[in-house]
Amino acid sequence: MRVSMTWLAELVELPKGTTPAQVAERLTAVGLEVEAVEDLAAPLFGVVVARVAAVEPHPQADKLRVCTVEAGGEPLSVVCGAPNVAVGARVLLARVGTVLPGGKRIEAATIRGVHSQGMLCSAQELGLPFSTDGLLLVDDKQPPGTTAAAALDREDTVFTLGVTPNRPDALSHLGVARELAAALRVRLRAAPPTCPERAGPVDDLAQVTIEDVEGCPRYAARVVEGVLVGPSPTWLVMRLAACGVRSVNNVVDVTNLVMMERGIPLHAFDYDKIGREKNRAAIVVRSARAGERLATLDGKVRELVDTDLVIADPERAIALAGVMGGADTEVSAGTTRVLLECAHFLPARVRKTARRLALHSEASHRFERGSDPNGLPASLDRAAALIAELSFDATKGPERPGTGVHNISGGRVARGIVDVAPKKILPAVVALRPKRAAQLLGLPAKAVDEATISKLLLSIGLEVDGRDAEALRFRVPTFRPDLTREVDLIEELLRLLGTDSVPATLPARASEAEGLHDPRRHRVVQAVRSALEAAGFDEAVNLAFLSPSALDPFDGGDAAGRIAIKNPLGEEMSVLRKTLLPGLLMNAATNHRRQELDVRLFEVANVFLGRNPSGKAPVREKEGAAGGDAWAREVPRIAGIATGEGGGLGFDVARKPVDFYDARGAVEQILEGIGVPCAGAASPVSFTAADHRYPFLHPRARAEVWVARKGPEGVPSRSFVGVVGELHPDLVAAYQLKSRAVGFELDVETLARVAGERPRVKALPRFPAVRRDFALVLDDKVTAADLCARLNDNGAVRGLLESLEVFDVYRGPGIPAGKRSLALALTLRAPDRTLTDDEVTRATGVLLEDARAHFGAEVRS
Amino acid sequence: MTLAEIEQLLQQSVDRALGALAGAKSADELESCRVQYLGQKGFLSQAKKSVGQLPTVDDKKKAGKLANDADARLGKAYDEHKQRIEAAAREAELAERWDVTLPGRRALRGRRHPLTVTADDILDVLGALGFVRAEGPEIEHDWYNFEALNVPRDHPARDMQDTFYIDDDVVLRTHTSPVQVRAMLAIGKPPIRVACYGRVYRNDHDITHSPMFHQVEGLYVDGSVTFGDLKGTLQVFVERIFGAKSKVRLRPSFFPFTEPSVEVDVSCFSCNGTGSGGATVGDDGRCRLCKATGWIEIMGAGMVDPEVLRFGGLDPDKLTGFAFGIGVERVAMLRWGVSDIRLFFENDRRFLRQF
Ligand SMILES: [Zn+2]
Repeated sequence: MRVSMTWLAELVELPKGTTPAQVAERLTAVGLEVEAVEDLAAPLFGVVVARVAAVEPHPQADKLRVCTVEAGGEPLSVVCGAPNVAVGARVLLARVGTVLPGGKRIEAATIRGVHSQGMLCSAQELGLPFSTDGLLLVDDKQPPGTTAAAALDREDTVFTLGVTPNRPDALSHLGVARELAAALRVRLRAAPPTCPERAGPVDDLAQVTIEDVEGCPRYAARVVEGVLVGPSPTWLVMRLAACGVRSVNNVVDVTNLVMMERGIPLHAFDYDKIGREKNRAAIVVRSARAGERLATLDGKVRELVDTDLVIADPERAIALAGVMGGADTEVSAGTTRVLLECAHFLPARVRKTARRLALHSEASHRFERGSDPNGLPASLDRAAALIAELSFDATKGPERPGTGVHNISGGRVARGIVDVAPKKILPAVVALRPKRAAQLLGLPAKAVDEATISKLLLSIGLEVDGRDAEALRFRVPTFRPDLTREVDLIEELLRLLGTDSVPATLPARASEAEGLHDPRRHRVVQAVRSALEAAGFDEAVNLAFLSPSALDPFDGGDAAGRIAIKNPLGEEMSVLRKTLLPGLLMNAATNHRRQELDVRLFEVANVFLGRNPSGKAPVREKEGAAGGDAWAREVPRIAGIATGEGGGLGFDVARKPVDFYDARGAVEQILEGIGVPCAGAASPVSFTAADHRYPFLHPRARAEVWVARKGPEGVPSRSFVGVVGELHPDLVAAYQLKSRAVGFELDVETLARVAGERPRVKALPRFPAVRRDFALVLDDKVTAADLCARLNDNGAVRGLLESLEVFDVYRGPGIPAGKRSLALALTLRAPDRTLTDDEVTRATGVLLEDARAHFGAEVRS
Repeated sequence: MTLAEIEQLLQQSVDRALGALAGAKSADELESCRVQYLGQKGFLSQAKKSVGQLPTVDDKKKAGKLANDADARLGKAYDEHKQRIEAAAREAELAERWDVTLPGRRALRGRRHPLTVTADDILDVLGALGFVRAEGPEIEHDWYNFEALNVPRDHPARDMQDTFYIDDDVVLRTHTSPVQVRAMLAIGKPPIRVACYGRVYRNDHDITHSPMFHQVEGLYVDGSVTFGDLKGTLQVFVERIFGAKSKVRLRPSFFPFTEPSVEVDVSCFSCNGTGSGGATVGDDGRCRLCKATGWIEIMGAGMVDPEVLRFGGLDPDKLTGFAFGIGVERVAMLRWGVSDIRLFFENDRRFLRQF
């Protein structure tokens, strides 16, 4: 909402010297946020009224003239190309040094040999809302030297207010003025408008029937005869321009002006184009008929539905109620009689139609929020009187242009108002307990005593209705539909007292309940973050939207299992993610395009895995609601990706391209970070080769991650934590990555479930350990896990084996094709003695024999 | 072995061993000499073992003395040479040249996302103020997202938030406020004091709006919670997040689920609330961060609307409460001077590694 300071000053008895900044501060303080303050005169700074004293032809150019102009002070010589420059005309001169609204700076210049000391301006050059050709001419009464801002009624400041949807009253100058007056504790000038009636009774001219009473509780109309449609006077054009409204013609402009002033939209029909009944223009307010069509003012033909409310005559719809008028009954140059409509429509009805047709207008904006049903007569009086006044144009003479018809008497308003109000809307009565106000706001009782409350609420238009034992009763004017409850009035008190008046206090009691939250999961997520930070992964945050094709490699194009958005920002953001990996792949691609190849990223977020069977809509019961679990299966995940080279940092540290083991290492660090050991015979973790269910991973470098645990009642079970692997080369190519990529995706709930409890400390060993290294040549198909598992279980090392780890893998010269050499480190320790050489040698021998017999392993010397 | 043979063995071997010890050039060589000559299988042990087998006490005494003398000589020579070698090694170490200006070797360390850092800070402060965490789904029933928050269908307040729809009754939550009602229904018994952090969604995409962003919601409901309590809580919150000198301004505003409602402004920490100068001063001398107003809008807050309490199964005649919601991106942008919200979601390594 754009509000003019000059206009406000007409409505409020502002203290002398009140500045725009002070007005802005007060309006913001009472809840009408001033988002911008614009000085309308600023763009015209340096532009003044000048009288053209002489016009000479330019010696060097046919189309240019050399003008002598007087603008207070010495006459100036200015070169001008406009055809309408004439001796005696009052024009606007941009002096040397002026910067025009377009950014052009006026310099003293020599144009084809003639000196020019400024520029004569057109409306366009000054950014003014007049559609005139050539120079903008101003009133002869303006003395030369007057600033353009003064001459054009532009000495004004405009405030842009962010009006919240609960305050339809603040969508008018009168409403804002009322707030400002209350905030400044000064008086509002709000005398009701008067309307001289010089024509016959309106009831002989028009009739109104409301068929849809619910959609239209009240409809009022006036008729003006002898109307002269033409351009609006400067002051009216400028006032509307300040509000951001373009001038159309004097009749339409008046309806807009009154809307901006009083907040209720009006519509003007060409009276003679409305269908008749008993010789009277007959207005019917009804629901649209299915299939009915209406050509609206914007030139489009609208197909109507039965929820639309229309203004009709006996034959057809002539306007969409509250949204837009019809083209057939539009006021045009030939219009001589006008029917002015001012009505109250049900907000939800207007909103429905406006949204369906995407027709958001100043009128629908106000109706949707709730206009004042009892302000109709005053708005009609103001508009009708002004149209009549503007229809007599003394400056242009009494002849209607081009018609030969003389408009000697000017506009005449018909006597009376057609006012049909089948459903009266009365002021609400709301009780307010001063004690409750003090209690809710945290104010001492005397700060909100009865006298203070009455004074404050009366200042914004409420009236005292009476009182009960503990409460005051107030009548709320119908322009404040938002005030229906005690708490609404308490908010008004807070606004008017100012939030600064409330002392700050700190509440003492903390919540006893844990709330809607799993603290264990939260701890696990934070531990995982720390582990991944230590592993060199940066945290990413991605939008939850994906294109359907991004999911295809992950779910095989299973559209039914996806959750789609009905109104997405675009196809590429139309489904919700089922996995975090596509987002991370996109991030890797972004980084690669920007020459950042060594990417290590992780993300913690929910993925969306279809409907939740128990996620029914809540049902409201007497106390609160029942049902309403999450509608979708929202599952928290942790995923990571690594590309480029891995390894430590340093000038002599070897770095090598990432591979499967970088990803697996990250997963191991995560598990270690949450207290699940990944090394040693006691580790519950296993990585098993994964199958075709993970087509997005390299078929030979993908693994499922499992953690063994004691299930309920001590039954051992294992939990599937997630997958890890090299991303499929096809996928890497599709994302145009410049290196291999590896990644993992783990389920957070499972991690939380398998996370280690706080461990009991074990005593440190008292006897030394013995380490033996040996290398075995094995068939390629034998996995390290199988070998170690078997040797771990060998009876010869029971109770002694501390760890058995692979520390090198070798393929190449000396090893037959299809085989590889695994170097193993065996650590044995007895809890109660120092092991002897012989014991160790014997145990090692048994293990090697076991490996030979079971896997065909040969000891490599 | 006879005494003579022992004598001969010692005579020959001691000189050879002394020569070998003296010739050892490193600690390793010296150690292998020690094992060879002085170890269990060396000549000295052999000689000592043989001493016990000599027939006469006299011979034993003589041979024993010879062996002990040899042991002492060799031991002394070994110790002396060992010290020399160690001293030389220290000398050599001290003579090494190191360019201390070269970077060290280290593991690559990752960074937490700035939004995580910001949210953790906010939640830490709220935790210290007695708020426990709460969570709710991101795909939410229209009922929780709107209706239970006093925003009926076909109400203009729905225009305040551009909503993504899954179907007619299911939306991507537009704010964390539905967790208010969920918390009331789940906890039931006051005091209810929860903080909820999470992703929210709005159909809007430009330099300051992301279609997905993060909010932290605070809710406190108890027997006599006042607007003054809200004010005090926000004051402490703002001081801890934006610095001890920060001031709070509460401007009346409108949210359907609070009454009274306020917008919360914090005094501009760039120009210290003066509107001019500061780190973000423009060419015209005005502060660009706060657009010369001295204040920055950071969140919405208010007293929980009685209707919302009722939807949450609580009795508004007996209980009152306050709630506030803060945009995490907004706080992070203000803190670190991030001017384009999209940087948070692009995940460019060069951006992420600045935090
Ligand atoms: Zn500032």
